[in-house]
Amino acid sequence: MDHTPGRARGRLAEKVAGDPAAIAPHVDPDWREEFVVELRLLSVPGARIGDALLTVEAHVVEAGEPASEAFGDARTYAREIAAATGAAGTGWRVGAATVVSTLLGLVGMLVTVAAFGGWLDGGPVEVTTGELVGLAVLVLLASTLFLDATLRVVVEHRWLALLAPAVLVGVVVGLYGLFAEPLLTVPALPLGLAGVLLLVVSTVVSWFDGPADGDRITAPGQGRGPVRGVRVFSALVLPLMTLLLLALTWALHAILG
Amino acid sequence: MSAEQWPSEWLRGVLGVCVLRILLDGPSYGYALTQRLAEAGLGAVKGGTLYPLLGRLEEAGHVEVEWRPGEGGPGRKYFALTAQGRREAAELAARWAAFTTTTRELTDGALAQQAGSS
Repeated sequence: MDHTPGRARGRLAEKVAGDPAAIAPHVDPDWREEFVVELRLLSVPGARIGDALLTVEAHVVEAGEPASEAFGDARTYAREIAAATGAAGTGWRVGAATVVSTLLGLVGMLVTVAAFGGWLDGGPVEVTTGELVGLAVLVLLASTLFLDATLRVVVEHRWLALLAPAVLVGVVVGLYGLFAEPLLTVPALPLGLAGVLLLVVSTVVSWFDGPADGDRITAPGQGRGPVRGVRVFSALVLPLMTLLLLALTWALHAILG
Repeated sequence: MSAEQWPSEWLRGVLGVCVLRILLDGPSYGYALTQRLAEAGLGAVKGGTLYPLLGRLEEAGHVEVEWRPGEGGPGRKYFALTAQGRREAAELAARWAAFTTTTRELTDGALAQQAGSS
């Protein structure tokens, strides 16, 4: 597929998720996005999405009419074509393993960073009620991503995806402040080991859960690209973030003494 | 009668047998099929109606799909009948003929009444 000028997204995004704009440059961007998002929500594999998208592209180029006219509403057409070709539900989807690995990774990250901070201070880690409650809220909310309904609500109400994390951070910080009295103390080293163990388990689960071929949106006959790199990166996101936070903690500690 | 006037529910019912019939002449692609259907007098069939039908035909094993590169364009998705699809096309055409004969035996009475009263 020729690269078309004026693509909205960069090469990295294209490598990770495929590039619908390069596959169907003549399809109205809004229509194209609604179509792709609906097919993703229906768990249609990336290659099938690329095929359906190129079919629309070929048709609108030749018929000279916009996709909305030739194919009607993007979501309705996405549902029809997914049902007709039997492709719905055959691709990768957010499943129990995805949720478990993400939760373990998040908890592992927070625990490891807390333990590292305690170790730098040379003492045990004090855990407050607020921290435990905040963690529980995070875990509970993240678990609902397991439900297709949650994903659909987030996708169809984009402002939620922007607003929800900010509100969540506010709530968690509030909980920390409200219940700041120490509940228990834990020695830094065992806590750190537990955190690292959680991260390792999370990474392993994420590696095996991830779609083997990256599930990128590819046009028919288009190569699959650097799939391995994508898979390694998505499995290592949380450990890498943990390393970043550890470096930050160390730097702050060094500066503030 | 102008082709644009066929009720859409009639077209939905007859589109499958018509597409299979056109594919008996050889492999074709979406836009060419809509052109051929229009020439045959069926009116403008939209991509949103045609491709799900082709998808169901592929899923049922009646057609095979092949992407052929286009000159400078995005390429074309060609649909070709399988042996099973050829049998289906012939069988459906025969059943459609029987169906229209049956319906006309009933509905032609309306024409006869109209002719008699005028």
